[in-house]
Amino acid sequence: MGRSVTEQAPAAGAISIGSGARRRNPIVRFLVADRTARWSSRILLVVVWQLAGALSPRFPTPVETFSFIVDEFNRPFGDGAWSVWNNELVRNLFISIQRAVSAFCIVVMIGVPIGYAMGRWWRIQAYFTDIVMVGIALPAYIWALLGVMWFGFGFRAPVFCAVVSATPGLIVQVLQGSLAIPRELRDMSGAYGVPFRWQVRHLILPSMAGALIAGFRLAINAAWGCVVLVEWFGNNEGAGFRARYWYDVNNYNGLMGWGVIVLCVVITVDRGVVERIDHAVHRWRGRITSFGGTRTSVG
Amino acid sequence: MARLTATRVIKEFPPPTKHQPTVRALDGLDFEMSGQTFVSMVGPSGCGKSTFLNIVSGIETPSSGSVEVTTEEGRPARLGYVFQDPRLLPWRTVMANLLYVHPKKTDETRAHIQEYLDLVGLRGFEHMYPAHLSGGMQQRVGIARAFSVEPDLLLMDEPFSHLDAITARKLREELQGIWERSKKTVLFVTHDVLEAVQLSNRIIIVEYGGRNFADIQIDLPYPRLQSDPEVATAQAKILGLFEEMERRRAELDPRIAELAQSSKAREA
Repeated sequence: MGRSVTEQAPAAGAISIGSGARRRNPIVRFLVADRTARWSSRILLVVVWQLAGALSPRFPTPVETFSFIVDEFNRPFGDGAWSVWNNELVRNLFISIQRAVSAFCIVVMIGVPIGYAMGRWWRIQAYFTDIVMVGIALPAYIWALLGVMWFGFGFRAPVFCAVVSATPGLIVQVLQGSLAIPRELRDMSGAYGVPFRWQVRHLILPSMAGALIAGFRLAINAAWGCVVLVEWFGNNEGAGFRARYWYDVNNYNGLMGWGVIVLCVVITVDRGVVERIDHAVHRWRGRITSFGGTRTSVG
Repeated sequence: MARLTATRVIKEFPPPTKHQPTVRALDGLDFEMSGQTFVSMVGPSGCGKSTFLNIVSGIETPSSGSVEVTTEEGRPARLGYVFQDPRLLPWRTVMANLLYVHPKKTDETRAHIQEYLDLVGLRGFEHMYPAHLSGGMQQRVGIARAFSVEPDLLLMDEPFSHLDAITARKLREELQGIWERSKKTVLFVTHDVLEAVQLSNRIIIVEYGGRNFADIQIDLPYPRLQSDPEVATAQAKILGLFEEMERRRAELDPRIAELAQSSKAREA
């Protein structure tokens, strides 16, 4: 028996999108949503944390940790009187952030030109390859101990260690980005005599944007981690020093509290700064896809 | 308008591997052009035509010999270049792509660019990204970019070779109109003899190894269509020269003659 197929032309103005147009059940839509996945993983993490705290007295619960952070905020810094800016939480955190930002600026000033030059000129690549390899291979804690031995307490040791351990990673990322600059667009720019500063702004930076952002992300994490590590080993102020202080007095809540604070800084910088820059530099892709697909022709 | 003088230009590329010989793309090419002229450089693939354009534009440097591009008054000439592919910045709009090659980014420049976008039929597309345009439209952006810098010498490297036949035909006809209005000095590279005859008033045939073989004047009125009988006659004449070039090459190199004989024997 043959099948009977009835074809009906769509009404004028009607849009046929096929199976994608089927309306899903709201509960199913909620369960498969991206936001649901993200929030359920976060809630699960807190529940596991709470359970671990309930099972072991050496594992502080989220409530104990949060309560420690509030206490740290209420504790005056040094011998001074308490204020919003002068307490153990804000002052130590500010000192660490100041060191990490200084280190990051130096890392960018060194890493970006070297990485770009390595990708552009093979002789420079040959010169720096082994040096970068050594930098990547040497663990951060070795640099931390060396930094403390060479520079002692203060500002220089954490900044030095953060620079030497974060720069090689950024160089490798920038090198990859530099190699990805389309040769034909460089030739076109050369043929039209486009000034180098315009090439940097309109060709080099946009071509390298993905690699640069990945490199910045790595450099921020490495610099921040290294600053905290050096403060732990040999310093008398900063987030790392404060975590070590509470570790030495066997205060688990203190150690966990500063761990959470350090983690929050990383997440805040990543979500609040790096991700926003990432969205801004890749906005053009969104404009292309929003036009009607990944690649749409009108001709 | 520009004056281009190339004297005994030799270009060698380093061997791809250690045990291979140096690759000689151009072997003493001599060439001169000036004024309101449309010159096509025709030759088989790999004869060094694109390399010559890259040398003229400064992308490559010659191994020996000299290339001089000046205006009629003797100052350094401004160049425009239409490549085989459009070479547009994918993250910039059409207008931004054209502004990129202009030293001044003023409102006047924008208005000037807009005129050329109108000329190539892209009015209303200036705020779109290259990915929104078809291949033919992207190539037209490339043409508008090259004309908009008001070049003394316009270089075009097989600009229609990647397009479908209908779009390429349309663009060839449009190009004749644009050139007639702007009257630039144009050096056009192609391996399509019919395209060269349709567009140019002088054709240089370059043989394998990058040497001049023939220099032909095409004195036909514009606009020309590919279906014009005069165009077909000129094409036949030039194809005859190509056959002669192949014959001479076979005479000079007995291995090529052997290959030709063996292929004829196989066909028989």
